[in-house]
Amino acid sequence: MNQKEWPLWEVFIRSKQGLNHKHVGSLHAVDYDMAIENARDVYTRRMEGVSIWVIESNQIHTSEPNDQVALFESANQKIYKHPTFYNLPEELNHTMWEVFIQSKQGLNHKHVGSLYAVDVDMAIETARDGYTRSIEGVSIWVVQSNQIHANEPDEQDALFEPAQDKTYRHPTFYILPLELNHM
Amino acid sequence: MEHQTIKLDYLLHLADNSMILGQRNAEWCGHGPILEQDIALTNISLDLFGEARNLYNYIAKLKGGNTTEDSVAFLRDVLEYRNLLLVEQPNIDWAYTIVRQFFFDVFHFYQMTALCQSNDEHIRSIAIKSLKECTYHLKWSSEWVIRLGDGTEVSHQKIKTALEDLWDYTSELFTPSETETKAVELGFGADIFLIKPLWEQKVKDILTEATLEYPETKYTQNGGKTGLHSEQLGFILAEMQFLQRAYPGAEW
Repeated sequence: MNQKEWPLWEVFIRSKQGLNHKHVGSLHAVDYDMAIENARDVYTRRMEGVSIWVIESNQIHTSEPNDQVALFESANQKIYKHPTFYNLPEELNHTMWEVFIQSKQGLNHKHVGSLYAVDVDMAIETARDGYTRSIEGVSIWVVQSNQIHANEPDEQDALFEPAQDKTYRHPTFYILPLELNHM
Repeated sequence: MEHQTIKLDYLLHLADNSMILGQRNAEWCGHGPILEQDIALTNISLDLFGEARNLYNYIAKLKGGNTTEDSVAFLRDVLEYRNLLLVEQPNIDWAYTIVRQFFFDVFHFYQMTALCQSNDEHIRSIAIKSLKECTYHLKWSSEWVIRLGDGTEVSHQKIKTALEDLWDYTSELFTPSETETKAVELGFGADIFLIKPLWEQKVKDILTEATLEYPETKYTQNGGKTGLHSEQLGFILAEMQFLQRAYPGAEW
């Protein structure tokens, strides 16, 4: 039997009230269409989301854990820096990258914006410069923008609306036997 | 048949389709090929049970007296069930499960679309709610048909076999029972003759994408709509009804 594992995907969900896509976890799927479907079934069962992004896990580059202190502390000192965005000539082969920041250990990575860079190192450097001065980050993820797969906007009804009236999925739905209150 | 009898019989047909398929899919719970698909299929199962509940509730309301959604769902015997033979067919493997779901989803989608125009307010509102769920089910099973058909040699062969085996049960979708014909005349039912070309086109499109051939009809199996079921249904009911029969009125 073929024991090949399906590739791993990271899932990012934007909630109704939320402005950013937040990392919620990972899952296995054969391709991105199915990863979006799986994400819908696994991570939006209790009305958590209005938009899903999936990214194949191996496409995500993270700031080296050992560099964490240097990466973020240096930003603290360079208070003269201001977020500056400049348009680069296309000849430079810059591609667009998305940046995710974990602002505190234990919290999830949150999408904060995008930038142009020629490679991973530059993307992480630029993310450090552009996005960690106001946010006390402990970890940066960068991913090439074209690696993000989002659900189609016209699928929103079918993906998310059915969860609205499934109140039985909420913990408050269950009335526990009286004896359990004594536990 | 008088109006009320036709309506009750028609509602049972709709509800039983969803409940029996929901029960079949629920058999996968804890046995899915991968965690994500285990959850996906049980979600679909719960959607189908949700739709069936709404319909059984409506039946209970029309019948009045001591009738409840549970008594309608659990206390009938095989001959009183009105579901399609297709939905009671066993899971066998993932390919059979997907093909069964796909055939039903295409049908269910167009059926619910039509029922959004029913002249019965209850049926209409149930259909509007279900349609959103069906839309997702159809997408889900279509994607799987494509991936199994256009996947590996083994997956292609498996789904081809399932496709040909279950094909015999699809003609029943478009063979109207007396109840269905009357339900259309009375304005609350869906016209399966209008659904047929839509169903065939959608199935053709997906099978083409899946590099599978549209099967030829060799044998046709009918009878579920009027209570003449395959031996499968008895086993499903034995498992599903055991608790209510052994402990009448049990709640949890």
